Amino acid sequence: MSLAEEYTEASDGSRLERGLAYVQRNSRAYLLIAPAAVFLLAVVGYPIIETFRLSLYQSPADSNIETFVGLQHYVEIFNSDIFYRLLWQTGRWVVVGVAGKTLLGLLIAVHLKGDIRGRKFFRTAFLIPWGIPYAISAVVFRWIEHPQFGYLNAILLKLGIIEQGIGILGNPSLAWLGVVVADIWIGTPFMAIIFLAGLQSIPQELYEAAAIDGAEKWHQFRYITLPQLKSVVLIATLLSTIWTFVSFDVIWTMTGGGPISSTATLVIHIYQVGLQNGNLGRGAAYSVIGFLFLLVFAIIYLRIYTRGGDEL
Amino acid sequence: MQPDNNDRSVEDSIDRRRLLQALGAGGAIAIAGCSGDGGSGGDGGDGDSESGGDGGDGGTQSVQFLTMGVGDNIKQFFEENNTAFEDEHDVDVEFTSVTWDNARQTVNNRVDGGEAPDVSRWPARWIPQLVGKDALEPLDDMMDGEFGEQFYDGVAEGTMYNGSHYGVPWAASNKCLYYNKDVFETAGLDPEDPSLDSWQDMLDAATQIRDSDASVPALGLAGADAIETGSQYYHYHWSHGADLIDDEGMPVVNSSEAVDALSLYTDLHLEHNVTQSSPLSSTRQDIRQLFENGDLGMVIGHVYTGLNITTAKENGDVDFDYGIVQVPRGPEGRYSLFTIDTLAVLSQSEHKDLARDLIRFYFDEERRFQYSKQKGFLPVVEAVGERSYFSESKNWGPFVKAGQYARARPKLGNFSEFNDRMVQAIQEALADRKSPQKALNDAQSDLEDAME
Amino acid sequence: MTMAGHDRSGLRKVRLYGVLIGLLGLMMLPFYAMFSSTLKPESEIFAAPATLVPSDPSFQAYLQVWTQTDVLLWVGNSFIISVGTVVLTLLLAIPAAYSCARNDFVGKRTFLLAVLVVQMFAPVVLIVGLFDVITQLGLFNTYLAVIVPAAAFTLPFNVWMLYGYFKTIPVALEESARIDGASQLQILTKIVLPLTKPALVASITYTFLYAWNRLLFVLTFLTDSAKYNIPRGVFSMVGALQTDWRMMLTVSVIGIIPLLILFAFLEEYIVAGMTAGAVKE
Repeated sequence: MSLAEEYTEASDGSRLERGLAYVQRNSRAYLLIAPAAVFLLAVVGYPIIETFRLSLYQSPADSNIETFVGLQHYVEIFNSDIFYRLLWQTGRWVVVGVAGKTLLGLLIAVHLKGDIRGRKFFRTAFLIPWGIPYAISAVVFRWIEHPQFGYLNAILLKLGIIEQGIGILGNPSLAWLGVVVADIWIGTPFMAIIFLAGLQSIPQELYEAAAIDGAEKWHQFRYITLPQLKSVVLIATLLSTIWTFVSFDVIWTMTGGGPISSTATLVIHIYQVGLQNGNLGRGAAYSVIGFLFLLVFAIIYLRIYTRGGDEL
Repeated sequence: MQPDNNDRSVEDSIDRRRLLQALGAGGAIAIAGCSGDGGSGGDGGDGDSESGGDGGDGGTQSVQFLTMGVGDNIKQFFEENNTAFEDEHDVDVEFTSVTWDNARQTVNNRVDGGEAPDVSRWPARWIPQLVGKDALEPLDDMMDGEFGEQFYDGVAEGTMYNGSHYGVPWAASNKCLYYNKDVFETAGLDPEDPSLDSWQDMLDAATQIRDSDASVPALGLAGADAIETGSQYYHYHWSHGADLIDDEGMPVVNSSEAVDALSLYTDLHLEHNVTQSSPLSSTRQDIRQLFENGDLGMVIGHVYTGLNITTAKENGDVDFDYGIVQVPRGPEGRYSLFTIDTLAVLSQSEHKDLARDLIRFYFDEERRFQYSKQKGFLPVVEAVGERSYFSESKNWGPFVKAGQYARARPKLGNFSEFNDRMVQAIQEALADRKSPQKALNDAQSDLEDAME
Repeated sequence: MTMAGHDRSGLRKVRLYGVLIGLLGLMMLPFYAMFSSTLKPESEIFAAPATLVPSDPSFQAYLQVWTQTDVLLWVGNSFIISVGTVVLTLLLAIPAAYSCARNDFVGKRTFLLAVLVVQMFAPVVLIVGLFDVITQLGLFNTYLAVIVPAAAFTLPFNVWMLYGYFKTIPVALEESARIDGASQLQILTKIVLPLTKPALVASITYTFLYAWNRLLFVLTFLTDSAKYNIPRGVFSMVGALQTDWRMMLTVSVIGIIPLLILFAFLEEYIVAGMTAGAVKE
């Protein structure tokens, strides 16, 4: 890497001097990232450090006294059954949710790319789900799936598919799917607009050349669109994974994590333990574990990406 | 470590507690409609935050009166009476009303910040937390004396914590069993004399409705992951002689009586099939709504259900007749879940006598009557409840009568955690994932661990 | 474009619109459920089973909503919060992303990863610590109490996304400007940004909507009802025992209208951005 060489090759003098000289030479680069870095440190630096600190303390709801307990929370969490159940439930929630949003988003973006009639209408209409407060969308979905008042059941009843309203959100085996659908619905427009912006930056000549070669649509998609979209897809799915992992509003509003905790994810559990039941230390320990999972995931994900020859 | 720093960290964590409580309330809000067996009756969103009364200075004493959810229907009541009290005692009343969604945070901010009001109203379930902060003045001098005799017994009990009264009952809400007369008629049951005295009676009627031409489910059963699923179930629990905690405050949720109660609750759905479909997705709000639409045979509800139906009928939105009877009796008695709001004197107050005078003033019988009537709250004072406006009203009568069966949820600092675990047990049994015995045993052992 | 005959392109068109309309229908169903409910009387909203088409549609709710709720105030506040968040976020994100895309320096990878770390904690988890920060900065109950944390949580996406787009812009364009003596800032504003319009539109849309929809920060850091945004306003209508669903949903529908106008407006920019791109070739 050139920058590492540059760093070590720098002329003699103390490490500090060399470091300063390096920073000075690249001062423009550092100055430009400084505002963002300082802002983030100031606003979220403390809350994050505080979460780490709290995870080592017992901090009960009904007193203001904190007791240092070391890694006790972590040990107890790793020894509990609920943790592994939460991992599994979080995993399926993230995988199905992100896959759904990505595929639907891609499908919409590809079809909206061209110069089609009513493009403005379609593009605007597809964004509507994104413009509704998440909690409201969740309420509406809960309602749609409601066994008595719901539209879904009304349609199924009308079609004669069922005789009695079914309660998806009340079924411990199905409820998570009922919630994932809402999450996909809410998250798809974001994916679509990101992919659309990515598609528009692909040079049109590439397609024209392929068309002359007689490439099929699918081949164009496979060999031109996807590779060109790679970095956009990477960043979008990485972020979407993180967001879906830490999402709270939709599950909480639709099921509160139930029935029988079947829709609870790590974050729902953190909220229940830490904020509702006031066990801040335990909640913080769960947060740190969740964070480490995401960090490791992000590093591996980015490494796989950079292995392909692209730089970060 | 500098002593300075220690002080800071205590301060910080107080802030944090304050926030936690606010979030607790926020969580309830976020559920949007599945939640809120609010402090007392139905004033969740009404009214704006508003500061009334003139807090004029001058040399006179002033008393700060904080309350919540004062809507247009009751604003004038407070304005007039505060003025009357000011004239009578030559003092100023600084009257503040906040909305319910800000209430808890406001109270905690003011108490922690050393700016507590002299008199305040809030749900009785906040008492343990506020007593934990030494924020409340015991009012045994009032409640054990002549003043305390005006209240219904179960109601007066509702302000008790650790052997003392930390407030005076201000408003209440309780439960009765509603039934749809049209549905009963269709099923060949007597709509005027439904004989719904015991749970068995209720089940018999429900079975008959199920087997009849009536096209609606017989009984509403709450089973969703929401706090009120507990509130609905506790009627069954208590009436079988089961309890939630013992005298030492330890959980006792898996007694054989409790197993009987939960078995009955779940069998209504699993065995007898007399409930609405999929009770696990139904909140108490949902089943109440079904009944109010005329789409349900029976439901346990509070007085608002009747008042709502009356309004809807006047608007021509629905057209059915309903009756109200007491919550059915179990082998060991009959209970009606009671939640109350209290009026408290704060220990920070420098005008405690004046604060007590203000409370006595507002408990003048005529004032209590006007308040209950205008606000639509269940009377807490026996003499008010006996007035014909309430006792002879179709909607109010049965609820006034239910005052004698009043029972409040246990006052535990961590009741919401306790209740969550109970709701989980109810769900496990309702989903047929565990037997009632196993579900309650597991809850018991988890609760024992949590209580340590 | 090569023309593969009228028939084939006609068929392709039918298929294209078929897919689009099908997808749109799917995406619109929940919105339809919401909108149609606002046209029903309160009693019909809770009909069991639901009426798929309002039996007697009425726009009454859209007349009542202006007097019964503070919807205009909420929309105004949402705008202030969203615009504030967009401005703050972009001011911080654009220079940072550009710097990372154009320079190679020690700490770049760490910076980019550290930015992502912010997202790896659920906001509900960090809210306790954020509360301390907001009160220490004296922002409690100001618009900034929402704008600042919203900017912190939208910054990672913006830095990453813009970084990705900036990298796709040929350096050659900038080199010539540099030779002409333009500063890096001038190059950024005069040459790079105009070329990244589609990306900026995506950034602005994302950031704007993040702030528009966010309930948590308003719920926690704003208790002054005069500063409520739309979601907070909607949830102030949830009563313990009584909730006016019709009004709640009506406010939610109205909250979408300004966004639709905004989207349509931004759409122009996407087109403009593409044309600019074509001209440069």
